[in-house]
Amino acid sequence: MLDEDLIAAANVWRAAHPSGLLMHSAMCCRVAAGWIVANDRSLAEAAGTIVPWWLRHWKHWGPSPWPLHWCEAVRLGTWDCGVFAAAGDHLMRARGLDSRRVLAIEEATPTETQQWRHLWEAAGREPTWTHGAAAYHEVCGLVSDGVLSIWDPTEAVWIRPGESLPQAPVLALKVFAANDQELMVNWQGVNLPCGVWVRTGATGGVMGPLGS
Amino acid sequence: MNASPRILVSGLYSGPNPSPGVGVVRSLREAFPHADLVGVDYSPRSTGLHWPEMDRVWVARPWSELNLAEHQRQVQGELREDGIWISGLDLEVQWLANTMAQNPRILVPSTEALNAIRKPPTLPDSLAIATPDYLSLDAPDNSLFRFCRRHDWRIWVKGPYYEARFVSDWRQLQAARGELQETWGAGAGLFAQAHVAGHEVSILLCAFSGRLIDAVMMTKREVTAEGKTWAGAIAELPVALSAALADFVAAIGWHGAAEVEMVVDAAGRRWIIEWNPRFPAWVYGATLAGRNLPAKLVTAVTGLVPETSKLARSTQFVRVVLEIPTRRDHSLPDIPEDGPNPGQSAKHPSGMPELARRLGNTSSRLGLSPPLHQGDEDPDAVPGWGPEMEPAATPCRLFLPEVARRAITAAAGAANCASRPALGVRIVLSIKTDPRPEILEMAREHGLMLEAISQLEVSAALRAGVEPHDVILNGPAKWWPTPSSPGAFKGIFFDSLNEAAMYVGDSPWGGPWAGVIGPRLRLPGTNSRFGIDVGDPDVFGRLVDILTDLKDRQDIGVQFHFASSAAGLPGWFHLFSASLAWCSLLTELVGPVTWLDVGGGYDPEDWNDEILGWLTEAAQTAAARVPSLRQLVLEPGKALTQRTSVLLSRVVDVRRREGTVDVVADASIAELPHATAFPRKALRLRDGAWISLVPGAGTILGRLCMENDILGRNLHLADLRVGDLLCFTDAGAYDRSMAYEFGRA
Repeated sequence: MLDEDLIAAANVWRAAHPSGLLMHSAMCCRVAAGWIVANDRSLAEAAGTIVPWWLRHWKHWGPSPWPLHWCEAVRLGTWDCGVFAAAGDHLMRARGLDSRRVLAIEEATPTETQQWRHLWEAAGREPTWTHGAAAYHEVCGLVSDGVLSIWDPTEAVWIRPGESLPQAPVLALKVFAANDQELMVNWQGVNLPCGVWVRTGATGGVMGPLGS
Repeated sequence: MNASPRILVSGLYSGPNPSPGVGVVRSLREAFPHADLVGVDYSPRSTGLHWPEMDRVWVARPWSELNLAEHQRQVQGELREDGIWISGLDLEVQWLANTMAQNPRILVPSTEALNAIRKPPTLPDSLAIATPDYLSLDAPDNSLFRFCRRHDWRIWVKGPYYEARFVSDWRQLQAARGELQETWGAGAGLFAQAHVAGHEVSILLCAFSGRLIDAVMMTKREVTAEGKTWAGAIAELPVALSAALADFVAAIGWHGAAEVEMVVDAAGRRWIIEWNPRFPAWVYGATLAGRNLPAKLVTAVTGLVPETSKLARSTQFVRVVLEIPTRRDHSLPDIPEDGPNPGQSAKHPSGMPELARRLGNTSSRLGLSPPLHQGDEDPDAVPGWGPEMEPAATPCRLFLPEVARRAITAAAGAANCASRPALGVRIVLSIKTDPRPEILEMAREHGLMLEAISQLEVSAALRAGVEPHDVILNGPAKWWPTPSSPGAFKGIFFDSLNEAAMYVGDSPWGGPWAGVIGPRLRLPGTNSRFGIDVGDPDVFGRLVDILTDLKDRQDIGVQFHFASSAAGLPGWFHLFSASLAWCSLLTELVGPVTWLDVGGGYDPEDWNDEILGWLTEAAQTAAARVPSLRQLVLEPGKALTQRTSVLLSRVVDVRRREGTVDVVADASIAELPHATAFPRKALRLRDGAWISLVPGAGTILGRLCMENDILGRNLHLADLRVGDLLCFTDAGAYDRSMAYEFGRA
């Protein structure tokens, strides 16, 4: 992807904020949000894993309606990456882990974006998360001993500097700070400024903040 | 110096579980286009023989028929003065180490170096690569059974050089042990090893006379169904690991190639799986990443600089399936006729196990004594035994009342000790594990509650003098055949939401159904047919609704039963912790959960050695995490009754076969329906004393015309005679309550 195209995509999603699931004031959402934590406690801890790997086995990736409440989310047949990331963050926080929200821009081919358009339109939704050859994605961050690891709950894989997701190269990332004092995170040896889109250099080019 | 080195590369099989030869040849051909490359294998079925980059191939006779001295002369003849041998076969490496390791152009380690990494390898602390727990398969069966339970029945049964089978219960372990003993021979160094979950990572290294030349790390990115690498990513070793590896290689004087197979767990700890004394089959993947270790090894031997030095093309590699033409001078043999069975020639019969036996070095490094041929007297097997107890007719199940009394007393005592003012702890005896009146009465005397799964069992409890308010109802058909209680039960744990709905209405006797009612939970991740599947959010939501309806008229309890003997002990403790999480959530959503009933069956040894001592901690943990709890109930299942009976049987036939003796007993799986589900002691009566039968190759066959009527395996039975009295321990619990009439009339 040309650098200007990536910058254009980053501008489109400049104000993007991590997806969040809403709570009804009624019992339904308390049951759902509590259930997913208890289920995680049963499954993920037994497997000795840090992350809730089972989400990917439970839900297929696909269109989700927004806004979305917890009681609706647990009953949906498909989750988009925003639901996966919101649920992953919820579960990691429930485990007492130092979780971060992370946004990503992936490279996409025209055939992929066409397919995604069909998939979303069939569900009556607009795939606003693609822009040219770029696709918006949400993942999870986990800070341990001062080092950020990025985990994609949609694919149940880790994203490392210089590597791609199974589907596509990750071109840019945006890490949301835990607090106002957190300006930078160390992503396995690579310093990422918080709150701005940063080019990963996965397909060449220099790693660093994307200009607007 | 010869610019066209002659290199013999062995181990060319290129199937789903490939040898490294083709990858080595590809790497060498890239670096030395003019090298004289000779491929070597021991079966014409080795598919890699047809790889086109070899100048010549040598198909030696299978190891099973090779004259090793002659083969040594032939190898030396092929090598001449300046040839190099790179072996890709574990056992060939061993043979070469034994016979020709003094020749540095044969790139294999010394016997001493091989001994240093022999399975299961234990590496120096500096490498920070731990060894998963293991135990020799020559260990006593009860030790092996304990080992497997303590590792959650996630166990690998491994051969001395290669072959591994994953097993998850005792029957599978027995079968895997039998298969590997068939291949490698008894006492051949077979062992069981705990599975470690995590990412599979390997180190590829090569060394020359103890000097580490290069090493890289590979993380598997795709694997076959057998777990073999199908794609991977190559990376540098961490600096500290590289330095420690260089020290270790120097310390043991490693010479040649090696692959260190590891698992990295969720906490980042490295665990060694195997240290293979050869290149791995994915070696060309490292070459693609710019790290041609076969070429570096040849350079170390010859001083030749590679003619071409390709840069890294990718740090990741994949495998693909290729069809290639066969060599003109090596046509493919037919698949052998195999009678009525489908032809299966995928195995490549080079005779490695035979070579292992001929090398005579498959004995265990695990430090165990060879099996005894004289059993020890075991006075505890049948407490109080005297000649007057010898039965007139066999088979005969002998009840051991003192054993039962001790078990029940110990359980009641431990529960009393663990009880706290705010949280009582009680034991409940499952009637189905042994409904004999003596046991039910003992339980009542010692304050145990009883668990019934049918109204017939309720009747048995009432006949033993137990009141309904000391009976807990469980199971999917607890009201079958007709309700028989004169009053409320202590507890009822429903198995379905349909059943739960019943308890919103009135009981047949007018008052409350029970002191406490609640769901039996089917916890996520457990493979069970019982209970409410709380892993389904809809089911959980409906459970919350029903409990909300019930809470104003009944105390709410929760039950989780799952056999620790199946889940393993750590796995069961995890389920206990998970059950507290569900109790806590139900308390938050519905109202106070006051009872927790856990259990499902423990091995008697685990119950006595682990669970009884853990009760106090369990009560503390439960009270801390679910403060509304008032009662913690433990249902030990078979643990209380398994050892309360032994089965006596006489030998009715002695059968001698090649090198061993089998016997036929007049007992059968009709009296021991769980004969092969867990190990038990088998003893013989000699001079009035019970003597343990020691390990051997014999089998105790049951009297029935049933193929699976096997009462004992791997026993030394040569001294037995027709009429000898045998004893099988642990014949209570389900071996009693599930015994059946068969073959008697």
